[in-house]
Amino acid sequence: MIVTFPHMGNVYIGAKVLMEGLGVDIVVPPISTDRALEIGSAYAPEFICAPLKINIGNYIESIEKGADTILITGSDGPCRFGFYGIMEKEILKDMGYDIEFIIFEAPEGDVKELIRRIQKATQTKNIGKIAKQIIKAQRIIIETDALDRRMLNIEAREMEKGSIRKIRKNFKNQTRNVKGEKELKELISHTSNKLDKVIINKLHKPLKIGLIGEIYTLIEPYINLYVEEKLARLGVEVDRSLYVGDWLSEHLLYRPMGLTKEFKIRKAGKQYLDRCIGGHAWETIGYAAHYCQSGYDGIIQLLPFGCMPEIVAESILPSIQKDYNVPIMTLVLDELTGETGYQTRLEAFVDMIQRKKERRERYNA
Amino acid sequence: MKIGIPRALLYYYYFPLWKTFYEELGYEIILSPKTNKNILDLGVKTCVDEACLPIKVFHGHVESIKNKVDFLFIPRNTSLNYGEFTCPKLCGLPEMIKNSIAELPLIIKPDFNLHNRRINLDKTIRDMIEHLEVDFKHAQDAYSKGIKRLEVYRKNLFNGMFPDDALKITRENFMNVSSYKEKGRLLILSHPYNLYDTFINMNLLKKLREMGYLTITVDNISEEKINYYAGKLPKKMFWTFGRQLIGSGLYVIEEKEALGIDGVIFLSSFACGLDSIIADYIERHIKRQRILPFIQLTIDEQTGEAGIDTRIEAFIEMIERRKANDSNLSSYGECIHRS
Repeated sequence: MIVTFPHMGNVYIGAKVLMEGLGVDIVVPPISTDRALEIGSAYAPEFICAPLKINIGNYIESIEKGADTILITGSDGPCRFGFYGIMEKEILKDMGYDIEFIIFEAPEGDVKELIRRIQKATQTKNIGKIAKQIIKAQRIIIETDALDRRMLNIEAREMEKGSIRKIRKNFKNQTRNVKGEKELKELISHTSNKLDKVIINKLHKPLKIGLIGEIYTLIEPYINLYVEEKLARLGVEVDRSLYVGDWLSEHLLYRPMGLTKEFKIRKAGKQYLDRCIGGHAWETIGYAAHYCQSGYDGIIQLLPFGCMPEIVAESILPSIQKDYNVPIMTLVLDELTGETGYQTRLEAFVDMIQRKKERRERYNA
Repeated sequence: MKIGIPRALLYYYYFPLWKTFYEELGYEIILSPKTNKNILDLGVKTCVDEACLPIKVFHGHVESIKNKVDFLFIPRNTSLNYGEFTCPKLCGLPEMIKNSIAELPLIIKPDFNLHNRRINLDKTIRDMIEHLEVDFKHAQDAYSKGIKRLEVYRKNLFNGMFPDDALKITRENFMNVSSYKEKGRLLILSHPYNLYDTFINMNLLKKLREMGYLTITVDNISEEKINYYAGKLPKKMFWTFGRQLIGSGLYVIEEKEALGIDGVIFLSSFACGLDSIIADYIERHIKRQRILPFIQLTIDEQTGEAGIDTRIEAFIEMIERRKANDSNLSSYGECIHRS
């Protein structure tokens, strides 16, 4: 059994630690590229959301490298993600690949089945060993997320433009080649040391933009056309609302115990949306209000074309924009997104909030 | 006091309940007019661009009656069945309306949620009379009367009536199906709000009946069959409409001879999230077996009828030619002529 999984931001680092630690053969799919998206768009249904199309591309590229089992998580609706596993299996079947899927979910609340599936995927019955490895993987993901955050923070202020970009590229390339948790930790601390040496322009006070929206388009840099790097290169400090590590600890640890770390966020957006309607609409609205309250200059919402919960969120956002007087822009992403048009919109948006800020400062002064 | 109900979305699924409930309590119901070009334009103007056609039409209906009523009834249909959901846009419908349309009257937004094992029906009824001065006991009676009325309506739909006719009748009625000179039978799969809104689907059902084809919809198929075949999915279908559509689709694929179905038409609206999964799943299963002609018609804000007419006519013609060739001419893929 050689397992593979779809890409989503830093998930592959965690999966590597988890599976290599347990001694399972794993194929990390090549970084999502136009080829992956093209394969996906050709075989997936026309109106399905973009993440599924890229997933299909990832699978095919992994299968070409020898993978024969696919791991994916599931959910219980009402968002379409709950049916990803089923649909992807059907699509691959029609393409002529007979691939086994292991879907991590508790079907109709059956936790024992979920444990059986995890045991099957990890090829060990020892739950303690699995749990230990999961904790290790989770720690690595959180460390990588923290590194990502730091890089974004510095990139907006760096003296010599492009130095962070080089470090990031190096880091991403090396993560694919190193083996095991220990080497990854070394790589992270090594990269962290490199970041310490980057010279920062302390006089530059960057604009602050919050990124909200659907989790896949936020986390996977290929589908959002590296929006964070683009904004950072325009000298903007970016804060992304969702990270893989936070999401995992929220859903694996807090939610099953009936707790939530997002209490503050929910409270911030309560008057606009007070319930979960599937996907990340609730978080989107909550974070939008939260960013407005914490003095951000602008907010950008990202969603794949046709994402149902985010469309509801999109129609609520104008009210938040009006109430707090913070500009919000929505970017819809799919396989037809052109990079130039996208860049132009980002530049125009940044120019606009820059001028808005200057005007406000002048009148206040 | 007037309560406005937009004639869109789950109107075709629940209207008898709402109507009986409020009329029983002595309120006047103002129904928005049937969908027309003006309503569609209003909807397109007020709604966010990415939303699907039925949601835009709903916005148009709200816009068209908001000035004529004291209260506006916008239900939040989170779940219509145990363990199931509806589309997220229906779950967030009141929020969408509130934030896109200005100068609204008071909104009544009851939450119909049957998702959990324990259903808080009292809360739903309390929500339904939120801004009204009504005795709760009285409202409970009205609700149970409404449910009875709804059951009769559903039975009439099951017996082959269209909603417009079924709404007028208060008792169960069997339609005389044999009066149709029937050339064949077609299964029409669609959400009720696309299927029964004759403006946005360009009167598809009537057109097909005029061509001599009996149309069978999800409402004409018994719940037992739907549940049995939907249970064959590897995972529980968590959308109510999805379960109904996939259940009837698989039912027809398996028992097409007994039902005498000649083809399947899937009517979906542009960028419908549910249909991207449901229609594709059914289509893949039909394609693999190569036994049934299948067509997916997509509707959106465009109102030109010629395009959709051409596609329907071509589809019907193909079915007829297939029949004339003794069913041996494949409508898809390789030719399976065996003579």
